[in-house]
Parts: sequence; C-alpha cells; structure tokens
Amino acid sequence: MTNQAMQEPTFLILTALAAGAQHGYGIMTDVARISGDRVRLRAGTLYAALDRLRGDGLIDADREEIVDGGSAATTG
Amino acid sequence: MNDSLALERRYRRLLVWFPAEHRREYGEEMIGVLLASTPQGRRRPRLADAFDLMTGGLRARLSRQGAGLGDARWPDALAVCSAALPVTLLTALAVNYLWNLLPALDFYGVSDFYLPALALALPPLIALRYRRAAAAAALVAATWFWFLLLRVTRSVSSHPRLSVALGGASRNPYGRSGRHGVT
Repeated sequence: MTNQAMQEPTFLILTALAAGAQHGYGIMTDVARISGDRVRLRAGTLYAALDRLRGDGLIDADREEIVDGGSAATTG
Repeated sequence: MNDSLALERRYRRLLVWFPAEHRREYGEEMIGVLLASTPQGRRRPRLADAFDLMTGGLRARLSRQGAGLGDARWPDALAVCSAALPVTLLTALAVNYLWNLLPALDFYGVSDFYLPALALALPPLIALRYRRAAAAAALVAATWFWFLLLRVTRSVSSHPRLSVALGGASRNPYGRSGRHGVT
C-alpha cells in the first residue's frame, strides 16, 4: 500500500512549490494564503513533509535557494 | 537578545527529535523559520510548536528508517516474527503448564501476556534497527523472567503443600482440579 491518499498539507506544499522554488518560511506563508488561513503549517510538519517529498522524488532542494532563504528567514 | 538566545536553545533541544541526518540538512533553516515565526519576546516555544516538532521528528525518523509499508524489511520482520511466535507460545504454554502445578501462585495471566507481547515487539524493533530499544526490551524481559523464576522457586521450597502438589502431578496432571471448590 505505497499509494496512500495525499494529505492536505502535502497537497498545499506542492501547490505552493508549483508556483516556483521557495524557502521554508515562504512555503508556510504561501500555504496559509492558498488555504485562506485555514491551514497553518508548523515547522515540524513542514520539514518532515519536505524530507519525505524529497525522498519520493517529488521535489528537489535548490541549495542556493535554501541558503538564501534561510538567511532571509532569520533576518526578515 | 537574551530571550531569543534562550528560545533558540530550546528549539535546538527540540530538534533532537529529528534524525541527525535530517538536522544536518535542514536544522539551521528550521531554526531560522522557527525564530521568524515566533512572536518577539517569547523565551519558550509554544506548546503546539513543540508538539509539532516532536511528532514531525518521529515521522521523519520512521520514514528515514524506511518503515513505510512498502519497505522490503517488513516481510523480513514478519518472517522472523512468524518463526519466533510459535516457539514463544509453546514456551509460554509449557511455562503455564508448569505453573498450573503450583496452585498457590497466580502468574498465569502474566506469563500469558508478556511473552507473546515481547515476541511481537522484538523482531520489528530489530528490523527497524532500533537495536538499543530492542536490547533494553530484552534486558527488561530477562530481568522479569528471572524475577518470576526466583519467586517461584522460593515459594516452592517454603511451601509444603506445593511439594505435595508437584509430587501428585506426576501421577495425575489434573490433580489440582479438585481444589477449585475450596475457597
């Protein structure tokens, strides 16, 4: 049973990333916006999901993007 | 300044729930996101965030260990389990039978429950490479077993009726059935 139904947070994360590469904080705000503030992702859920999606080959890490995003997230 | 340092330290402690590899990959970024999404002046993570980090970390561990239902190690674990279970149940039955000959002791339910439970728990633990947890469980089981055995042998030697029951058992294994009415 590897073909599990996709959970809503996962779907929202993929929707957010379909618009373009994003860092973690950007995904969180995007998911809140897309869902009309109904779904508020927390960091633990988000990064567990990102890791799993990467493992499944559905997304890929853009190293530069993450480094930029990381510093942007801490200063902004 | 001090507040955000204390907060960061607490977040780092919570990140331990994630596998080390995951922390190396995302740890700094997660700290950044966590600090950015926490209101100024807080020294402690919100309870919901802490809980989310714990469950997220456990989920990441499970998927890193390859514990998904499609993982190839599940059939292995099942195979070990199905071999271990009959052996354990037979042992439990034998132990039960012996303990039935000692009517003053009421370990029946304990032996019935713990041994099969351990047989079920250990192989998947080992297969999932939680070797330390499996070793700890085995140690607890062994200690428990010896504790019971010691109590049994001590009771036998200090209980004259039991030696009679044991002696009678060789002739009639159901010899204790006559005792049921006596309360």
